[in-house]
Amino acid sequence: MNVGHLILREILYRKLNFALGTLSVVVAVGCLVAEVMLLRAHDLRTEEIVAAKEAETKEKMAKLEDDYRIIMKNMGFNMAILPKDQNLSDLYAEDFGSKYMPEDYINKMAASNIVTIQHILPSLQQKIKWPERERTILLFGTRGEVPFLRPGPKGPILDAVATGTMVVGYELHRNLNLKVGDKVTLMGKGFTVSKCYPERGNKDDITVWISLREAQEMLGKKGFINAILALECNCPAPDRIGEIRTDIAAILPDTQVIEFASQAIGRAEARNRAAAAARDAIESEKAQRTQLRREREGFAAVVVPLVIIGAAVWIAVLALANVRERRTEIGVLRAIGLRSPQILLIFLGKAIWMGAVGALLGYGAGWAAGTACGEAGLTHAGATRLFDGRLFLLVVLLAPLLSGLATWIPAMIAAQEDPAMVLREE
Amino acid sequence: MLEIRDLKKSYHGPRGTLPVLEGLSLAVGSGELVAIQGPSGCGKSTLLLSAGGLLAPDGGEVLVDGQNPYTLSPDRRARFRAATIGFVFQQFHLVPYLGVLDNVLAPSLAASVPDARRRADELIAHFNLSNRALHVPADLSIGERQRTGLARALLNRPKLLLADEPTGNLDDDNAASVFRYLAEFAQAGGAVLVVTHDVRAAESAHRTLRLKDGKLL
Repeated sequence: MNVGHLILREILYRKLNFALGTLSVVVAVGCLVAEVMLLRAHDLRTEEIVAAKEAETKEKMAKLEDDYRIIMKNMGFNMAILPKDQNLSDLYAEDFGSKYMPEDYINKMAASNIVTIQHILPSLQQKIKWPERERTILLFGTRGEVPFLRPGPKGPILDAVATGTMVVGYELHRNLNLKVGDKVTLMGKGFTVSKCYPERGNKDDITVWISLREAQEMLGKKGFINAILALECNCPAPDRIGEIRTDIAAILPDTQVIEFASQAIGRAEARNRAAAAARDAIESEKAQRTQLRREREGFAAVVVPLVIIGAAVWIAVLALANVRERRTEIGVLRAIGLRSPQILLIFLGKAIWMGAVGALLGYGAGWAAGTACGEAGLTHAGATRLFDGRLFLLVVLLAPLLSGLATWIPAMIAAQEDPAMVLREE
Repeated sequence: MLEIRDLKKSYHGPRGTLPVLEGLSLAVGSGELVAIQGPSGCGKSTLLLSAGGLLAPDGGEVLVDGQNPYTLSPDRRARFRAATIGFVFQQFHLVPYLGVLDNVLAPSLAASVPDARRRADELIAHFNLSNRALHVPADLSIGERQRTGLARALLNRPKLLLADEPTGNLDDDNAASVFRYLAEFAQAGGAVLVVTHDVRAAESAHRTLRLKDGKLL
C-alpha cells in the first residue's frame, strides 16, 4: 500500500472527475500543440511554395539563358576591340578596320580575369574582290572563339571554321548558287563550302568566313588581326561600357572598344526583367505568407493563453469539488496518522496524473488537428516533419506542472483540514 | 496507558462559548476496557478526540503512554498517533474506493508497519473477512464494515484503542461481536476507551463511567 496506489484507486473510483480534468488538459494542450503545428505547417508550406517557385524560376531562367545563348549566337557579338589608332569613320565606311594588332592580344585577353566580357573571337576582316567570282565580299578570317582560362567558361556562340572550308553568307550563296559541299576557289586557293547561312539582313550576307590562318596568309597579315569581337556579360551596372573599357584598357592598353549592337543588350535586359519579375513574385509570396503567419500568431497569442487559463480554473474547480467530496476520507486519513504533506501529495499526485495523461492525449490530438486543419497542400513528408520532439517533451513536463499548480490551493485546503472538526461533524 | 487530568474544553461560536468538558480526569490502564456513557451532546466525542491527540484541550493534560501528544509538532503528533492509537468510528469511515485489504493496510501509509501485509491478512482472517478482502465497502454488510474498521485500527498494533459509538449502527449480533473484539484487545494488554450509548458495553467493560455536564460521575 502506498500513496500512488491510493491515487490510482481513487482515479478509477471517481472516473468522471478524472476524465473531466484530463479533458480540460487535453483541450489546453491540444489547442497549444495544434496552434504550434499550424504555424509549423504554415512555415513548411511556405518553404514548399517558395522552393517550388524558385525551382520553376530557375527552370525558366535556364530556358531563357539557353534562348539567349541561341539568340546571341545568331546575332553575333556586340563589341569590337580595335587597335587604338583605328579611325572609326574609316571602319564604319569600309566595314573593316585598316589597322592591325598582334594576334597574341587574344591570348592576353583569355588569360585575364576580366568578367565584364564573356566571349572573345579574334578576327581578320577585309573587304576584297573575289577575283574568281567577280564579287565584292567581306573576307572574315577566324580561328573560332578563344576560351577564357578562368573557371566556368561559357560555351562558344560561334564555331571555328576548319582549314580548307568556308562559310558563306546568304546573299553570296544565293547569287552564286553555292551549296554545302561545293568546291570553290578564292584568290587561287581551293575551299569547300561547309555551311551556308540564312539571311541576316546585314553585312554577314556578303561575308565569307575562312580560318584565320588562311586569311592571314591570303591577306599577307601573318600573326595579325584587326579586331577582337566580344560579347559583354549580362551584368547589371550603371556604366556598363565604361567599366568594360576600363577593364580592357588595363589588359590591352593600345586598343579601343566600340559597341555596335544593342539588340543583345535589349535581350539581356528583357531577361533581367524576367528574372526580377520572378524574384518579385517570390518575394511577394513570401510577404503574403509572412503576413498570414503574423495573423495566425496573433490569434494563437490570444486563444492559447485563454484556453490554458480556462483549463487551469476548471481543474482547480474540479479539485476543490474533489476535496469537498473527500472531506471525511481526509479526516480519517489524518486521524490514523497521515501527515499534511502526504494529503497534499495525494491531491497533487492525482493532478500530475491528470496533466500527464492529458498531455499525451492532447499532443496526439493537437498534432492530428494541426495536420488535418493545417495547410491544405502540405505534403506527407511535410506532415511527418510537424512532429516536434522538444515541444512534446515540454508539453509532457509542463502540463503536469500546470495541472499541479492549478490544484495547489484545493490540495492545501485538504492538507490543512482539521480532522477533529471533520469527525465531530460526522 | 491513557491519563487525562483536569481536561477542559469549550467550543466558541457566534452564540457564545459552550463549555463541554470541565475538569475531567480519567485513567485507562493497559489491559483495561473503559466504557463512557452519557446523553447526546454531553462531550463523549470531544473526550475521545482529545484523548486521541486530535483536539487540543483548553486546559488540563492528556498523556498517552506517558507522552503528551499536544507538546509535539503536528507532524510528530501524527506519527505518534499512527504508532500508538487506533480509532474505531460509528460510521466506520472506510475509504470507499479501497477494498477491505487496502482499507486495513491504510495506516501503513502513516507509519511503517513491519510485515504489514501479513499482519493485514491475519487481521482479515481474524475478523472473518477473508472472502471479502478485495471487496469495496459498498459491497459489505454493516457488520463487515465495522469489522474492517476494527482490523484497520489494529494494524499498527496500537497501545490505545479509542472507539466512538462502535455499535451505534449494528444489530445485536454484530454489536456483541464488536464488544467481544474490544475485550479481546484489552485482554491482550491493550487499553480501550469506548464511548457508547449501548448498555451492553457494561458487560464487556472493566469500568463503565457516566459523563454528565462535562464531568465524569
